[in-house]
Amino acid sequence: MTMLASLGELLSTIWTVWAVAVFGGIAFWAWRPANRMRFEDDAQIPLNDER
Amino acid sequence: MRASMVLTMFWGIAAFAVGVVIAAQLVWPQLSFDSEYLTFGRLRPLHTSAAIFAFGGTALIGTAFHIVQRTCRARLFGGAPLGWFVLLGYQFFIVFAATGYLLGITQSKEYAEPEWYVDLWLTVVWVAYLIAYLGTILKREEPHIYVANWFYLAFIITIAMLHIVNNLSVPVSFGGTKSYGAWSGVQDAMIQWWYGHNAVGFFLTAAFLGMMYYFIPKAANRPVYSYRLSIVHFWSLVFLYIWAGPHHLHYTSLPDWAQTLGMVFSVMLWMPSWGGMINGLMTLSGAWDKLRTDPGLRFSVTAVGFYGMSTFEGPVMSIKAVNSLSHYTDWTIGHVHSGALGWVAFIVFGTMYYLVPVLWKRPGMWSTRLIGWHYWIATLGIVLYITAMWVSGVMQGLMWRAYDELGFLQYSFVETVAAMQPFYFIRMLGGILFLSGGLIMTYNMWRTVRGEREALTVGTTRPALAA
Amino acid sequence: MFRHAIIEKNAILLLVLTLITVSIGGMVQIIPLFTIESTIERVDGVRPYTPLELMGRNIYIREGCYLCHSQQIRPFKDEVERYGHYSLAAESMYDKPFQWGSKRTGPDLARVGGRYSNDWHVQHLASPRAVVPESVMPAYPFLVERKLEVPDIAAHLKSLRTVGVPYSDEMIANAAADLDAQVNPDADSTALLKRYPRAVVGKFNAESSSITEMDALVAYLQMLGTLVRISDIPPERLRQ
Repeated sequence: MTMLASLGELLSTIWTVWAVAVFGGIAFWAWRPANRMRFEDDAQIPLNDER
Repeated sequence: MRASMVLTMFWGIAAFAVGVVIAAQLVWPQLSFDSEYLTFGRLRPLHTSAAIFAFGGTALIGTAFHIVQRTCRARLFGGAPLGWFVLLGYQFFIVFAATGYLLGITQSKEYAEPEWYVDLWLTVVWVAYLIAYLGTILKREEPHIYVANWFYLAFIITIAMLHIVNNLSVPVSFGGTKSYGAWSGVQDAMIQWWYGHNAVGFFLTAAFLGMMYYFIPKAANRPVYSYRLSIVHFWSLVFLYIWAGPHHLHYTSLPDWAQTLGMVFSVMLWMPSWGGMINGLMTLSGAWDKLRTDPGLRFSVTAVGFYGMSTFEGPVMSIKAVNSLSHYTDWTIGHVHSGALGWVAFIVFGTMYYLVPVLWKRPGMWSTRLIGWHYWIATLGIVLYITAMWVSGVMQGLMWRAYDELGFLQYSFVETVAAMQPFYFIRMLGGILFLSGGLIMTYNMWRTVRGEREALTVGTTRPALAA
Repeated sequence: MFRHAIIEKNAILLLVLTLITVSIGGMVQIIPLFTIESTIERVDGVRPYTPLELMGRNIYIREGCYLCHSQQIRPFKDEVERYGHYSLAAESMYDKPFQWGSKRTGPDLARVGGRYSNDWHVQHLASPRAVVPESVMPAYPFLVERKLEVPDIAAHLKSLRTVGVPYSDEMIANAAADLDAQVNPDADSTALLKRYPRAVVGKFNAESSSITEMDALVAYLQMLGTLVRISDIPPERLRQ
């Protein structure tokens, strides 16, 4: 339990850093040009479902 | 699932009607008729549960099964028997819970009032729901899992986690209804609002965003504005929301560090919320003319607008300085209703106006004109409701802290109660309008199901349906 | 290279990652509340509820009083003047569930104990507008005559002990007698007061000769906020 508490403490002191890092990672990935085509296909899924 | 549409409508009317009754009781308290079963304290959980769990929950189960089967191009896992078990089992949960409230059987945890035996039953139904939903995704034909399904899946598992942790308790006897919870005092408060705020975050937000990500593209017949934004929206929303609970406990005996965390994350939550709003609204860019011809879509789009407004108001209210004024007042009630009526109910109405004709294989709703009437009456109802609550909330907060020139508290508590009366009356009028809109919708739905078509509306059929 | 496509194609992985993502916030906020000792101030006087108070509290819960009355005074000048010293976490440490509330349609009740007479409470609950004309509270006349039905009071104390409330064997063995002693003017309440210091003893509801639900509810209201004598506590003990 003390380990969890100290982990919680550490995470909450540097939370801005890692939250921004994770968010940046997701955003970078989402806008990576390589993924563009795939997402355009995915977005069509609800419109193709009557096939 | 046609049955889910009918049940959703039924619970919606029930929730709005009980809401009007308890609003009226705050104007004329005699309306409890000295009866044990009609007091505000027993009807209020009935109202909130009917709105959130019965109306909202039934709509979510129905649409979840509809969406998952179509976006996965697979039949429901477990087939019709499992689907019916989840839907009807959930209805039993609602009836068990509601009858309990009237009899005074409650845990007194807001939005988690049902006692242990009802909680256990809900757990069974919820696991079946997860199995049906996840099973369908696993056997899908479509290689990718469409983003709407992510939101529904996050909703199902997060609600399971919250429900189990918050409701851990020991019954006094297995023949009786009473139980005592595992948590107490300050920890109980934190766990309850971790639950309570994320019932808002995952039940009333994430799941209905799933609805938005399917039905708005569907009704507008164009893909979502930015699929990339929806991914960022998803991960940031599910990560940030769960932290926001302590803003319900500002300036209480909860330690300051927890309050501060709650405030900071609530303010950050504003970003993904508006990302989602932009994504929903921009889906219509280039197709705004559809709003004129399709009043059903108008509901969905207005819903997204209200979502944007509530998710701006929420972070503002979570700032401690603002909260010191707004907490314990009607401002909170107004905020909740701009979300519940403006966002949740409107996105459900928009979805149903699209889905009812599809499910019953009709060319459109019986009357487009009546959808328009419903829209304006319901919108006016919401505006009356939330403005009345803003005024009464801010006024009450200011009256509580007002001092006269001699340095004494200026108002006794009961003077602040008396000052609320006109606003409680206006709030009730808003509720009556919203209920009337619901009744118009019920009538329209009834005529649609019977296969009729209003003569006047020929020529204004919804173009979206032709697609 | 990490591929999000893997998550999108694997429902189980999506589920697990989502579960991890939603667990972090709750764990960071909840677990320390159990491990950091200063979360609950170390003050004297807090004790488990007497059997009668507990039954009254259950009626308070049953009637949904918490929906309009908070039991949590915030540390603001006006609140402290209106209701008393701000609430301590210690004061609700045996509350299952907590009754802090979220709305004040009526006033805060955290320190209502001893502020009004028993008769005032009985009259006010039975007919609020007869006492406070502007009140919007529902009337609870049915509490006045209805006998308090508790088939097995000891079972309530036992299940509370299971979930961490320190009821002793002696308290459980004497539960039924203690309930009676608190409300019966002829009973000897010495043992009760020894087990539950500062309990208020008396016939709370003068309108009925039997032990009624009103007796229990008023007994509960009359003890709210009375257990901790905050003026006796050095300020550093109040720091969380």
